[in-house]
Amino acid sequence: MECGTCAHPTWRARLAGVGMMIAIALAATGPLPAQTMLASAGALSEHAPRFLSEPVDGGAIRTDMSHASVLRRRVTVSLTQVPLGDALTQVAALGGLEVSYSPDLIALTRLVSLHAQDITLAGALGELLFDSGVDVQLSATGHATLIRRFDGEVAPPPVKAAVSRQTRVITGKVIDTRSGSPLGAVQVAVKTTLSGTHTKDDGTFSLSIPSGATTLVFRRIGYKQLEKVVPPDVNVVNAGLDQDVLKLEEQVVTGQATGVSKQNLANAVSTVSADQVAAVQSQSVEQALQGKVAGADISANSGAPGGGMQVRLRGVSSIIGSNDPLYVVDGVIISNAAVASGANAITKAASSTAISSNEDNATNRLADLDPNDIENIEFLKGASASAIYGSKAANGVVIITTKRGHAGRTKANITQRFGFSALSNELGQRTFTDSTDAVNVFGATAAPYFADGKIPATYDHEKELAGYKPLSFQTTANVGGGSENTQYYVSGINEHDGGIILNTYFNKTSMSAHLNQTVGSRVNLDIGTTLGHTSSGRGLTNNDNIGASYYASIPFIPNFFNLQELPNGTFPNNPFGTSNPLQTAQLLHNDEGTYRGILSGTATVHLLASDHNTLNFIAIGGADVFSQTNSLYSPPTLQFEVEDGTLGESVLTNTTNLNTNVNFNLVDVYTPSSGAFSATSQFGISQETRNQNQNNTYAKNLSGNLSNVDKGTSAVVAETRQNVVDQGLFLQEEFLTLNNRLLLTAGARADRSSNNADNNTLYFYPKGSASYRLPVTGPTLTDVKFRAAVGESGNEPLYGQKFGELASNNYAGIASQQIGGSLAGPDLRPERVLEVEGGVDLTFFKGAATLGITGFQKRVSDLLLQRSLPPSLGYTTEFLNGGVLRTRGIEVEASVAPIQTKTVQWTMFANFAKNASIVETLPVAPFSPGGFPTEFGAFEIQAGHSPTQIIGNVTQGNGNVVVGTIGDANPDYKVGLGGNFTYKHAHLYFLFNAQKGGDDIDLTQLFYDLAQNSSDYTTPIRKGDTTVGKGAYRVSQWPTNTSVYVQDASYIKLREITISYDLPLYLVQKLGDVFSSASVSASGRNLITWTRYPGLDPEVSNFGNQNIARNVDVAPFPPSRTFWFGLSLGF
Amino acid sequence: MTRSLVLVALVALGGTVGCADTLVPDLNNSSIAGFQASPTGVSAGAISIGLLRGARDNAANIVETLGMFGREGYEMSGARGDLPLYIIGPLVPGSFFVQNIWSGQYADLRAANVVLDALGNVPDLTTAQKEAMRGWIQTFEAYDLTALAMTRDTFGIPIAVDIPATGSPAPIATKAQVYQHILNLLDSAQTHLQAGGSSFSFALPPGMANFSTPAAFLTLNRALRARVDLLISDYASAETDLAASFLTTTGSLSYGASFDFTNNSGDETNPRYEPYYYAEPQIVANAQLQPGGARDERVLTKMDSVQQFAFDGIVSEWQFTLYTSPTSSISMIRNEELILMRAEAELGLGQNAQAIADINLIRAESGGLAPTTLTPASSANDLLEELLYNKRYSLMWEGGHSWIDYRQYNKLSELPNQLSTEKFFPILPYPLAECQALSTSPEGCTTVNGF
Repeated sequence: MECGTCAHPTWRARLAGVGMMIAIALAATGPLPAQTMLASAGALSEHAPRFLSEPVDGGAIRTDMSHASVLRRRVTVSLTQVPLGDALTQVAALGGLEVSYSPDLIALTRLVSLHAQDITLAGALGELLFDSGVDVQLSATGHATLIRRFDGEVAPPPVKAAVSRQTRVITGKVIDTRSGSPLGAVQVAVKTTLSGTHTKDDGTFSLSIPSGATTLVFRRIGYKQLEKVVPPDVNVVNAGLDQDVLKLEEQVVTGQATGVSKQNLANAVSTVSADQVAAVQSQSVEQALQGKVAGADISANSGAPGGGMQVRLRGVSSIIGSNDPLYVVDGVIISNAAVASGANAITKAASSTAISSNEDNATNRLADLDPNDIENIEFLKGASASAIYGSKAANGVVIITTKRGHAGRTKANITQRFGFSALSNELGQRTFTDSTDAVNVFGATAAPYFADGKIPATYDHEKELAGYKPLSFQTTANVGGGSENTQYYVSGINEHDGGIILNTYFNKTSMSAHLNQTVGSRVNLDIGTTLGHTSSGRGLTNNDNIGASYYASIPFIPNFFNLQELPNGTFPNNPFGTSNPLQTAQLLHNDEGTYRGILSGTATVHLLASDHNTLNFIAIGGADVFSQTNSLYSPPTLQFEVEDGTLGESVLTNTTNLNTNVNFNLVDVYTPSSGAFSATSQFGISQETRNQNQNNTYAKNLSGNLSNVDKGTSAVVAETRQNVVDQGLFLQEEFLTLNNRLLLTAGARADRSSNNADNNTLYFYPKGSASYRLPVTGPTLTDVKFRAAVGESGNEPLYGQKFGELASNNYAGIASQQIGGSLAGPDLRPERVLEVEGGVDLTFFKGAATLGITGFQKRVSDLLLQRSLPPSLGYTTEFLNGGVLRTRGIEVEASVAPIQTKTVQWTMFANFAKNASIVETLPVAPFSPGGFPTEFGAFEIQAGHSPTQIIGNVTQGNGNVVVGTIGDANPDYKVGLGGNFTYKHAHLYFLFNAQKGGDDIDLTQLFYDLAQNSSDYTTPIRKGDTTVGKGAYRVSQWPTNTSVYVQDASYIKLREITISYDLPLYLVQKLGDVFSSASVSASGRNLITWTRYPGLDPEVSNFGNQNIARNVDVAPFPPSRTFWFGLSLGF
Repeated sequence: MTRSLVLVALVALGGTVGCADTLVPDLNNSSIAGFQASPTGVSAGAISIGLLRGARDNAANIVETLGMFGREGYEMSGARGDLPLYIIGPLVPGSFFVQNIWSGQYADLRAANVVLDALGNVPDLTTAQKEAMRGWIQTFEAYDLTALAMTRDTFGIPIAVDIPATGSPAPIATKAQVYQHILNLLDSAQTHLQAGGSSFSFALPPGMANFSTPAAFLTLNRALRARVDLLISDYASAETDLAASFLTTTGSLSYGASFDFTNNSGDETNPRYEPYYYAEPQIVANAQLQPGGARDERVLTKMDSVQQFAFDGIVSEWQFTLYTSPTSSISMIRNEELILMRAEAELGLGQNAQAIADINLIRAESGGLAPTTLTPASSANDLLEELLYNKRYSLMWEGGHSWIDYRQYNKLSELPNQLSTEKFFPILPYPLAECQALSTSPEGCTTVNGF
């Protein structure tokens, strides 16, 4: 089998199918099973028992019966120093075989040992009776009799079917070259044909191959592919595979149903493997990916437990369209919706009327996935790679493959972790030592605290709020295994992460099951299900217009005021504001719970399979459903509830979401007998639907202690629906030739969507790519690949953008209608991204080091734009297409494995990404894509400027105040640097992640400064000829000089670190013989941050996930560092 | 076998193409195009009420924004933090409140024109009902334009806005053109209301209960016209219009039209009912005393003494209690203002005795104060100051009246201030989006530094 191009993501399933066909071939040609056959090869043949038929009519001719079905039954045997007679009885009973013998024939009391899992009955009997000088005679009824070794003629086994040509059987064993241990699940295939099998757990295999010289190909995930020429007269082939430490030969998805080896790949597709994802416990998948992928800018929106993170691939691709990459899990496009909690009803952050807003610090639903369940993640970062996903792929595609079982011994693993999170940064505040100062700032209310000239005690409000370190725990377990035809993998997680603020937490309970099944000779099924429940408590954070959000309240409270709970269980009223944040944290609940189910299925049907041409029909379908409940309760005892006259408030939001997708593919792989090339052709169609329905109820004037939304005096309800249907067609051709050195790919996709103004128009997205590996054979440079790719993808309009709305509402009980704000977009269509990418991949020292450099340019044309209409026309905005956004960037990924010995292994990896965007043309007036007005630091899309520029008020030399550019949110570059160091059983892993440049708008600091309460408010600095307080200076510059609050967000973070120790085998077995491995670990996430940013955390986004208007810091959830200690046991 | 499998696969492939319809309608809102294609009386009525709703939003914004400009009071919420913008400035195109007193009004004008253009095609309304609706709509158009005209004063504003929404914005009309346009609208509305029969086709909310017939609504129309007359110093017309308005010297001073707020789903509560609106303390300090020594009754009813609060250097211990609950209504225009408007017109026409009578009526009824010591022979400025005192205290925190009046008579700098950096702004610039759409940079697109 020419394996430059293998079907993916189902290639494992296909290979399993190939194995099955071989089993048929073997049945046709003879010897089975492996043990017996090994014994018969060479000198051992005289010692092993043979399995023979009962002589017919007393004749001398007996037939070799070692293929008989009864002897192929599989048993697992564990016998230690057992008398042979008992051993035979036990094994026979396990296999359901009646065995009789004359007691004097064999030494029944000889002690024997046999430990084997999942071996054939023939194998087990063969082992037990080895050198006993007997054969096994099978009757027609399946009864077995031991007979003295038969010396007469033995006929070959009966032939069941005719075979087309001469074949022979070869056997062998595959080992790991580093450890010397046998390797199971290695695919052994005859080059250029479909014939193949897998090695067993003990590394052995047997395979029927054509007579004559043949080339065998050995492949296994995580190892480098090996080819071996087998001369006509050699029947034993042993092989050693080298670990692919730097993952040079990984399979990477390039089509909807096909993949290509990374060696030949023409795009810079980054992949993250299971061990990298699970290196340190993470609450969400994005968290586990930070710093690991060049070109993936992954940032948290706040420190709240349970996620709220954004993944931005290769910079900005859209301004008002979707800001999310497409997430595909096992072929199913899943939802990453971020449903707002309804906190806006309490905080009035965005408006006094809406129940929810994008300032609610929402969780995005990627948080539901279990990072431990992930086998592999691929990042198709730009259009040149993602074109095959058409009009949803402009932000890139993240392809997640979950874990599957492998044929062989059942393996299980259980990991228990304990840990905690701790507040990692505080802002501090001004300390007053003087009554006059305090009264000047806080009014006469402050005076009594300084009565009689005393200096009051101070309180650390931030620590009182966020200084909690509750115990977190996580249990994960998995079990997997199976036979040649059926493999399964089941895993589960139960996790509780305590938050650093009261009533904040993140819980996850989830279970997944994966089944791979071969049905008949032509069909492989791959079915996966995940069902889980995720919940979190998020507290009240982010922007707020009533002073209830924690960090919108603390800045205004002097540190000499004691907020803490009184002995009688009540809290003191805060006379300096509208809320007591400690009271709010203790009594307010903001809980979110989500039930999530993802069902995926792939059926691969081998329509045609000849040695040189295979045609597969691959159907992939699935559904992703979640039901989310957000329940927010602000009880009537809270200070701000008493003061604002609404008493208790409660918000209940129920959201249901269903995504379905189905696609059908025909994949043809043609390889001529010359092997000169391999051509993979693909044609497919797909349909995706997305439905979301959100119901909010906001109740006011709750007087009791129940949060039920019917308990108030009035309720506000809202319902929002979304329904999207997309359909697509695609074609792709991959052509691999010149001895696997040249790969050419061309493809196209056509899409239509209900979100386009014309839902029937098809939009085309072509792509093409080429890669060429130079035939170099130097000692230093082992492989050089040049690659170039070009492609287009799209980003369809969001639901609702094509409609012009009359908002129906209510005026004192009378129906009213008003213009909704946006003018209908009569010609809305997808944005188009044209990306050109080129690069070189270098491999040094036979794969001990790699360097990949990629340059790209993206041109996004037909941008979805929100034209800010002159409001005098009656509409504030209009959606339309137009303009060009260009992004250029460079990405470097390097890895090196300088030491790979049995005792010491050392690998390092680094990534670097830099990109810069510019709005080349803009057919509309400059407009704000979200955020606050200019005096607070605003975002503005303006031709000739970076789309992420920050504008604000600037005072010119002549004193005039104008609006100008004062910063840019996009970082100059991002870097990840990590390493793995193993010495014998001990491992050290670490990952640093750094960002240079990029600005944050620090309005939290503005709060402190406005309150004249910032820690550095009076710290003297020289300004011109005078000395002023730092904070006092800043606020004196505002609002005419906004740039004082636009601050450099550069940072270096120690993202992940783990020290672990694998217990040696003898210690493991002291724990109990059921265990096969055990390890202990200590790990941490975000332990250290080096930054000059004066806010809580440079990773921040008040408005949640945004194309542009990220990096706004308004009273965020404070950041924490997390520590974990774990014990992992393997069975 | 193989052949049939291939066949099944091809059929499955082909069968799915074009299977599902990809047309999805708007699931969340009615569409404007739908109304224009087939307008109904119910929808037209709902949009008419929508104009009232839009006016309510604008009125609430005006209470706060112009209230701060006129030093009636301050929003002292730390979390908002934008108080300095209102009192220190400068005002730049792009500020929150600049946008707030502009976009909402023009959205209402667009909605008004959508209905007016389609009204001829509404099958289920009588001619009289259509006339009444025209009168209602044009009156609110004039009301919205008045708010824009007051705040943009000499800058002028666009008025010819019944144009395609996809084109260029309407040109900016001069102050004189704007006020003439508003008067024309109100007079056109009068003609329609007079042909409007005995009732409106749509239900009216409680705040409009006094004006629920076209004839009664006309008295509101005239009262609004009198406001415009005074803004252009046409005192004679003001007297005429007030005579046709609902002015009464015998009825309640609070008789008039108001904006309702409810807790109903889809409705709004009074956004000025919040604990962080503090009154300018000078208002209390400068209040005249009642014969018994108590402060002017209007101070006592509109604010309460609370713990002193300081924010950004502004200090106050007086919180507004004018809006006592989230469902308290905000006045649109009421009898007390009409009487004071008549006094203003009388002063303008030199009818000082009548003016003093009207002022004394308010002093007694509303403030509990003794009659003014001024006489018809007192200086014009003294009389004007007395009028302004009463307008300020009677209409405080109800709609930015102080700022409008003190600006009208060039007396803004007489208003109190607490900070050395404070500025008074006589005018508001246009919103940024409007400026960016204009090819030339009109006067209204400059930064207002104040004085």
